[in-house]
This record gives sequence, C-alpha cells and structure tokens, in this order.
Amino acid sequence: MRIYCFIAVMVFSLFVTCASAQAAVTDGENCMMCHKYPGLTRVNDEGYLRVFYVDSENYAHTVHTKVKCTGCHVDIKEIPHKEMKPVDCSTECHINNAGSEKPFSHKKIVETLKKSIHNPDNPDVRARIVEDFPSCTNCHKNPTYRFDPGDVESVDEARHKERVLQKCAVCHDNNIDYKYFFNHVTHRIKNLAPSEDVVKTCSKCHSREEMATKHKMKNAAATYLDTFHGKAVEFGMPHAPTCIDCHVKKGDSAHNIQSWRNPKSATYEPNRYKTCEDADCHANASQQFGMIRMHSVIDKDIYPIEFYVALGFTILTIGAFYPLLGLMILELIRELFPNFSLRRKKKD
Amino acid sequence: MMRKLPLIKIKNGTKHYLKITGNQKAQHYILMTTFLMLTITGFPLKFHYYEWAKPVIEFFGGLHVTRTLHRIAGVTMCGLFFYHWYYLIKNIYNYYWGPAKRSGTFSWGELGKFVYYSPMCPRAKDGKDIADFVKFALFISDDRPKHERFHWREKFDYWAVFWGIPVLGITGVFLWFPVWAASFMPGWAINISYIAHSDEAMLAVSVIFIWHMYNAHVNYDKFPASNLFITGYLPENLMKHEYYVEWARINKIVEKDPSFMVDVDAQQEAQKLEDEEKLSIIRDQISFLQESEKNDKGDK
Repeated sequence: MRIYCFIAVMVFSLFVTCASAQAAVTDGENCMMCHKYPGLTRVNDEGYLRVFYVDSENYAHTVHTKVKCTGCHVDIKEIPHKEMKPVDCSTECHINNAGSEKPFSHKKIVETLKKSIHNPDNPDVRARIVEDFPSCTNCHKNPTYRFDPGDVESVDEARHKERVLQKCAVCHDNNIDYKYFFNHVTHRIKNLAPSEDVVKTCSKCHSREEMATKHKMKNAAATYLDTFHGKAVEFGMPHAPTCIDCHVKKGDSAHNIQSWRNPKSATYEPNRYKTCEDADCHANASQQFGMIRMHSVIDKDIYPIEFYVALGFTILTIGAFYPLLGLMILELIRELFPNFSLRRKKKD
Repeated sequence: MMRKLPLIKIKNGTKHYLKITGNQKAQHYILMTTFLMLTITGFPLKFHYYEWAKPVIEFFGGLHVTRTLHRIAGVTMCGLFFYHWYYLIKNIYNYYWGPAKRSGTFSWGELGKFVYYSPMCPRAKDGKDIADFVKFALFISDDRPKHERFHWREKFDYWAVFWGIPVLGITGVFLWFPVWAASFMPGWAINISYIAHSDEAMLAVSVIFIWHMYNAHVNYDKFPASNLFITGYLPENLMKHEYYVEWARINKIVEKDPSFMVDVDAQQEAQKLEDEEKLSIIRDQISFLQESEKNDKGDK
C-alpha cells in the first residue's frame, strides 16, 4: 500500500513539474524538446554562428506568445526539420483576427510598407540595393514589445490618444470595441512612449555612414542628434520629437513613410510646416518654419549658405584665437630668458 | 558731483593704484556670473556627444532647468549690454557734454577727442604697442611697451564682448522663438543662427578661458590669481610694470592734489593711538576709583 502512495506522489510531482514548465510557453508541437537547450547552435555556410535556442521565459512575455511555432514557421512539416525559409510576416497565422472569424495576418501592413520609401521599387529611391532595405524583423523584435504592467498606469496620460487608437486601426477595422482589447492595445502604446527606442530603431540603418554613402544620402541619425530635437531625446526630455513625429503623417501608419519628394509625404517641402504645427509642437508655424533644416550638414553643394557661414566663423575663430595663443606662448618663452637679446649692442 | 575715489591707497607699506571703479566691478561681476552660467548650461548641449554632457544636465535637474537658467542668464547679459550703453552715454554727458555746454566751450572736435582718448577706445598707439610687444617677445627689443589704463589685450577682450553679445543675443532670441523668427525670415536664417550662436560661443569661451584668464591671473607677477576684480586696485609693482603711462598719470595727479591718496596704514596707526588713549583714560579712571574705595574702607 505504502509503495503505491509513494508512486502516486512521484507521478503527481512529475506532473506538476511538467505542467509548470509547460505554462511558460505554448508548445503544443513540442518544439521546446530541442529548442530549450542553450547549446543548440550551428555555424552556417557563411560562417555565422546561428543560435536556435528559445528562451521560453522571454518568449512567454512577447506579443506572439499565443501563436504556435508553426503559425509563423509554416514550412515545418516534420521533426527533426531541415533549415527553413525566413519567416514571412504576411503569412496567415493560426489565430483568429480579433472580432471576426478570419485568420489573422500582417499582410495589410506588408502591402503598406511596399508602397513606402522603404521598398526598393519606390520611384523616389536613389539606390536600389535590395538587401539593404528593411524587412519587418529589422525594426520589430519581440523583446522591444515586452509588456511592463507599470506602463498601464500611464496610459491615461499618453500623448495623442487618437494616435493610439489609430494604431489599432492599422490592423483592425474600425468597428472593433477597443476597450475590450485594452490589454492588447497597451502593448502597442508602450511602443509609442519612449523616444529613445524609436530613434534607436531607425538608427540601426540610418546612422551608418557607409550605408548613407551607398544610397546617396546623408547620415540622418547623426544630423538629427545635432538638432535640439535630437538633443532633447538624448537628455531624456519626455515626449521629445522622434523620427516618426516628423516623418509620419498625422493619422497615418509608420509603415507608410514617403520620400520628401512625394507630395503625399509628411516632409514634402511646401507642406512640411503642417507637420510642425501640431498643437503640442510649434503652433502657428509659418511655411518658412517648415523650411528650417532638421538634417543640416555642412556641405557646399546642398546647403551653401550654412557652409559659408560656418566657414566664416571657423576662419574668425582660428584667425582670432590662434594668433593670441601664439603671442601667449612667445611671451612665456620671453619671460624665461629676460636678459637675452637679439639686438646688436651698439659699439661705444 | 563727482565722487572722489582715492587714486592711491597705501596699505601694508605698498601703494595700490585705482584701476576699476565700483560700478565697473559690479558690471564685471554680472558679466562674469552670467557668462559662466551660460557656458555651463550651454556647452553640454553643444558637446552632447561627450560623456560629461549628460551628468552636467542632470546635475541641474534636466533639460527644462538648464534651458530656463540659460535664458535667464542670457537676458541678464543682454540687459547688462544695454546698461553699458547707458553708462557710456551718461559718462560722455557727465564728463564732457554737460560741463562743456554749460561753460559754452562745446565743440564736436573736442567731443571726438574725448571719445578717442577714453580708456577703452582703440587708438593708433595700440597698434604700435602690439608691434612693440611682438618685437619684445621675439627678443628684438629689450623693453615692454608702456601701456595706459587699459592695454591692447584688455581692449581686445572688451570689444570681443561688445561684438559677441549682440551676435549671441540676437541669434539666441531667434532660437528661443523660432516660430516668430520664421514668420519674417526664411527658414535657413534659423539654421545659420544656430551655427552662429554655437560657433561664436566657442570663440568667446576659448578667448575668455585661455587668453583672458592667462592675462588676468597667470601672466608673470600675478600667478596664481589676481584680486583686481574684487578690490579694483593694483599694487604699485604691477601698475608700473604693466601700465607705466597710467602709473605716471596718477602720480602726477596725486602730486598736484594729495587728497587723492589715502594712507590706510597711517589711518590705522592713528586709530590705534586713539584707541590706546581712550583705553588708558578709562583704565586710569577705574584704578583711581578702586584705589579711593580701598582708602575709604581703611579710614573706617
């Protein structure tokens, strides 16, 4: 009798252990059987170390935690599986679109992105180097979406409430009861808040000098950080304007950024001031206000006025300061030898 | 009408010569504090990419605070600039225009001379002094140029500030109110205001912190610091060494009218004697009364 009790306890504790491990991540397909091992790595043909380990604790806190692994990695048919294609975000994953019975997909956003400047086929693109253009995962990584319950409290004070709801409308139709999906919404709100994260995301490509040269552009991140906008973000001023605040048209999606040459763009020169004149930014901005350069570089060909003013001040500084410094050094040397003289002594 | 400041004070056996008046000292204090405040709140923004920038901003309590302090200091400095104009015009009126008009001897030529020979006006002599100084520094001549009340280095600092405050003040206002500025100027004017504000500040700071500090505190006999900006007086050895002409001018005035010289040592000595005298009277009185009380007791 005692031995049965012992076995029952053992089986029960085993069950509890398994159940708690299972709770960390939805793993109906048992993928974690292999992917739970941190050593699951391989050096691929290009010589890069690929890590296939999945941190289930981390994954459980991402937005995709409810999606089955095969919901995105659709080409897995058997275990163990071969090397797969990269995930296509426009895939229909195996969850239902909230408020409807249709399968969910990011297809709509991928289509928007295809129409934006971030697609090599856009007519405004200067250099069509396909592999440099961003895919979804270049900007979106699961950990940046990690949910922090502390953020929920600040939702009421979130700037631009209508912009928060507009974010929902990117994926869902307007007939959704947004309150019902409040928890879902707060994940996205978090991404609106910290300005540093937005700048960091765009800087992944736009701060790279070699990439800018290749695409016949200027270093957008560095020139931005030289403005008061960039410095405000850098020094942690709340609600400081980021890349998105100027480059995304009010009420539009960040996936639909257009070239400044495109008349529909938020930065199209004749209309640029409309982007500046947001009530929280520069109310009553004039048309010329929009022409203040926010990515100013000292370059003779693009901005000759700035170039010559900067040149003038450089000459003034060098011309005024260095002669004084020279006199100072000469005087100090002179003080070291007070009795030495180059003057010929007059013969008496 | 004129308040007489002693041109020479004798203290601890040395003569001290008047160089800057109380009003000028006050102006210098305001300029100095606003300049330091503007530098310490402005440079972390200009050099945002250095590691020290963020701690400085955070020390003040964030960008909102440094921004406000920068603007208060800037407005104060511009106020000083306008006050200085008032001060110059007031002095022209008090020392030439008024007296000359009243006595009927006013002439524009003399007014020009008054301005030309005023202490801060750049003159032909300054050019000669610079040339003489270069000769001296290159060991070609053996003597320093003989300077007046303000030598060419001080005049350079003065006129650098005179040019710098309008440039920094006007561009600063444009950067403070960009929407207003862009309502009557093209957008690029705000961009060049930004360049001018930042570059002119760099020039001002390098000149003040290196050239001015060197001349005022480090240069030969003054090291490690000169207290001229606190006292307004220079000891005789420095005055004679650096401002020979002014030294001779003051000596001549004092020779004519010795009331311009105050002997602090003699005053202290007199005070000491007076104190001793008073104390001895009191002490004598006390001892006399004590003595008489004792005698009274003895009698009984």
